Amino acid sequence: MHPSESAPKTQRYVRSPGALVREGAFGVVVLGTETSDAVTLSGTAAALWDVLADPQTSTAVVDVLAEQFGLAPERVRPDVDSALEQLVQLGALERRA
Amino acid sequence: MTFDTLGTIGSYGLPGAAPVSIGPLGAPEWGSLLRAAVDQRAVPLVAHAAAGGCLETSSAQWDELTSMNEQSMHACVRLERAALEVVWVLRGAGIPHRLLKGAAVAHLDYPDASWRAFGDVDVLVRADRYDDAIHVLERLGGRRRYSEVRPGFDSRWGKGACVVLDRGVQVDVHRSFVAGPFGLTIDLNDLFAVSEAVLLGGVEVDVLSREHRLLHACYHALLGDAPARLVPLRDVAQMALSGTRDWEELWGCASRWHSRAVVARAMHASATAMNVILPEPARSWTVDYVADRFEARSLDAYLGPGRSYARQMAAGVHAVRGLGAKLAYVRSMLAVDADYARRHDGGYRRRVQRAWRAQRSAGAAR
Repeated sequence: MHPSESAPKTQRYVRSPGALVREGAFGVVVLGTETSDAVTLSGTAAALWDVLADPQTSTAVVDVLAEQFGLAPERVRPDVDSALEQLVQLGALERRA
Repeated sequence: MTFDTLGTIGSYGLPGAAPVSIGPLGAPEWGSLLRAAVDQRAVPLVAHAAAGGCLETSSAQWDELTSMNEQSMHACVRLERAALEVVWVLRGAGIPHRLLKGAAVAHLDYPDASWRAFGDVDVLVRADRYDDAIHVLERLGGRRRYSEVRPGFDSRWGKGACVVLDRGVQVDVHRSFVAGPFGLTIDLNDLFAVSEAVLLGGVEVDVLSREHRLLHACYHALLGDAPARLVPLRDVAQMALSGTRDWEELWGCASRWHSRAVVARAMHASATAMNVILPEPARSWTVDYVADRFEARSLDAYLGPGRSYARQMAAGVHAVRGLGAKLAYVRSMLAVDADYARRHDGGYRRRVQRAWRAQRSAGAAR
């Protein structure tokens, strides 16, 4: 089972206060707390980061992005879950109860 | 691509700046612009100007500029991580400090931190803890880039030292804003009497007050590189034109530090490069202020023909108060560490000769 699939659906994702961030036409450059290499979020990843300006559950993120990109939620969920998990691993996002 | 043209682009976004419309640029001009922007660390400014429609670009040019800006921002967040590591060890050692330039100015004085790139970490430490600061950074794995003129010189009279951490991160540890006379007349206690904070990675980091940041920007723009670099000039205009300033406090501080001429000339240079009109009373300073004898002589060491680090150090003797201190200062410059003299001057005798020539040159200029 994917780690994010085991997370309670009420669990919220928040931007890590320790992450260092820059935004621009390139997307979003993020240096998470658990890595020494910054990553660039672009396209749907940047849109996901934007949704997380406020704490959100994974379901809420899925719903917003699905509507934004005109896709069915079940089509979007696997990519969103994967992205959320990667960003948590990097220390760019945190899970909050 | 002339500096003037890059300066025009670099003024984009300044309150009151004249509307800019440049381009489209052919391949040679575009290449020249990008090289100049990289050299001046102004890629983010150019990118914002392009995004704002003031610099017309082709699709390929836009992609190239965006990619370069992305890399610039990668470097900046890595440097902010390094800055936090430096702040962490300084705090752990109980060493009062202020984060300077770079990250501090980017977050506090620009519309967004993505407007301002930087290439190193600058931190001011209190003079009586200067040596301790160097030692804690050396324990962090850092090494001094240049040897000290003489043991104890930097902590008493120097500007500071460059410490290179692993991964090649350069940390400039400052005792004062500049070397030479204008660095020696600053009342360093003023810089630690007040402070503001910048939030980096969720951590509140101490920085200079708004007025002291603008003063430092003036010192850096005027007395740093020659010719003056674009981003320091932009910093001065950015701070002078944005937000509210306690101009009376700023001018009073410059007066106490015997550096009103530095502020006036820096603001004039910035306003000229950026083609903006400064608010009063800053605008009047640039027009009306006349340097006094000390300022004129000192400025010549930084800006005049034959300017050099040696001339600045020689001119510094006029800023040192008290005969005993002056003698100690001169003795320190002459009786340098043998290794320093060998590496910088080719030997002690040549060092004395250079110092003598520098002082004679300064005297002839008066």
